[in-house]
Amino acid sequence: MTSSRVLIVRWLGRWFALAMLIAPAVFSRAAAQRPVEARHAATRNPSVRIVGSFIELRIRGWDKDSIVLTGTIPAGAKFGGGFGGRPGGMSAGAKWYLENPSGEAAGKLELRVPEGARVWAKSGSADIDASGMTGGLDLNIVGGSVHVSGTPHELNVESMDGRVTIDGKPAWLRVKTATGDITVMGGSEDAGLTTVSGTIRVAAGTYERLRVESVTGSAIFGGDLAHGASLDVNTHSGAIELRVPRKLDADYDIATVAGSIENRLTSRPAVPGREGRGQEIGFTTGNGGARVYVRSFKGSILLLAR
Amino acid sequence: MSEAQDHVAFETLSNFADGILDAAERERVQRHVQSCTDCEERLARLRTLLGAASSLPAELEPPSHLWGDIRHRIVALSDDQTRSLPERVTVRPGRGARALWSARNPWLLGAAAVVLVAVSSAVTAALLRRPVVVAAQPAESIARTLPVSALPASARAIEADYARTLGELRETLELRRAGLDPATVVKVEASLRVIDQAIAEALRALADDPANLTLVDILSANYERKLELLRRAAELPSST
Repeated sequence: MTSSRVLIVRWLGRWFALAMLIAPAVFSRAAAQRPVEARHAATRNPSVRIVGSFIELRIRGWDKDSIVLTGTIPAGAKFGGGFGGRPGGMSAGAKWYLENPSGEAAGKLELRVPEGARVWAKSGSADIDASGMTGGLDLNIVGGSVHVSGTPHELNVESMDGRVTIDGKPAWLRVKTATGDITVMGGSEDAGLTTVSGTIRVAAGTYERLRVESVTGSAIFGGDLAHGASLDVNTHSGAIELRVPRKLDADYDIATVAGSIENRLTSRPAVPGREGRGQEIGFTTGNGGARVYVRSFKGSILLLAR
Repeated sequence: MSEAQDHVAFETLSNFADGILDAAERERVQRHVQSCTDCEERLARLRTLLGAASSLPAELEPPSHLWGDIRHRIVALSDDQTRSLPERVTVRPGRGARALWSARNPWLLGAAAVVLVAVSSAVTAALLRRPVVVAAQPAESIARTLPVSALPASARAIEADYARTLGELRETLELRRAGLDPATVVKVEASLRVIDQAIAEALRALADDPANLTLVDILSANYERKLELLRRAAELPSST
């Protein structure tokens, strides 16, 4: 046997030994999971509720009259619930719960529902991704992330430190976080974005009624306002930045109690506020119409043209 | 479940009350509850709580009602009083009802500030009476300097509204706290401290400038954040 063959045999031997060492761990992990599959014919707008320790949930609205839940969950997890309605009939809803005795979030699930469904999902730390829905979504997490695209009629998202990204165009939108960042890009007829210390970014989209509120988190608005729209921004100490078209038809009423205002949108300077503290400014651009009302205790306010 | 000797876990009991357990689990819980007075009582309390919770509004926004009520009263009052103070009222175009808040009537605005600060103090005191996941509050010392007994009847009624809502949240938190992930409790406490600091700053500023209505808005918004956070903490599922 040549020396090169000896080397190859040794190399293969080492890899084989390593594989034998790793295999039990790999197989035990694989064996620790079990598949989940549930499917049923459903009405066009069923109500679906899923709660528990899943770590990943994909929600897909589809043009079919059925509900399908697939995925994997820990072998020892309690998984219960099922479809409502009479056996053999169309289901008007489904409810599932997942409980992992170890307390760790572990299930990975995909839920397909008729696009007009109303889905309610609640977990601890989880990544939720939803698309294709035209009905309602109510998503609640502690950590992780939520991403929603499409045009759900109603969208309610609550998280503690999980980040939330909405690039769809929900008619009605409410997002509330404690420290999680909020990014909205699609527009809405009626939106309310609230955080304690996360950053709120309204990057794009047209809004008819938008309310942005934070305690210490920054608020950045770079979207468009519909004719006669209202934009309310309120922070305690979070910085506020508004990037709006110079000729937007809007009336501005802006004040900060102890912070400062920098106006690069018009030539009008901000004036000292009550008793010389803070600053305030009011002006109209274009023909007026939309109402922009901004208040902060000590956050700085920057007005920019785009 | 090892409930035969350990009682039924809260989450299981909650799912039982929700009717989402599978048949076998449901039967086991049913059997245990029939033979265990402790679990029977917990289930009864849970059902009462769920019944009460189902009648709560989907969005908890007491301040809109609260401040709306206060504003309504003060605006109505100012309609009468501003007639005798024409040169002191500053009305800016496009401001609508908010313009009335610019009236520099010391009695009117002073009364508003007293009501606001007193109600705020009552809310803070109510929140702190039985700390659940709430850490020591910097706003507390400021709130305690304002006697609740000085509140007018209307403000006391509003305070009662707040106290009831907060009491319900506290009750729910008490039930759920042991089941929450300690890391989540830490996050909730940290955010509550941020809000309390903001409330304390706004209260201090309001004490210096009682007629500043921007501060009124900001303070009320901070209280809204606190109520929302408490509600969400109370509604978190177990082990999260």
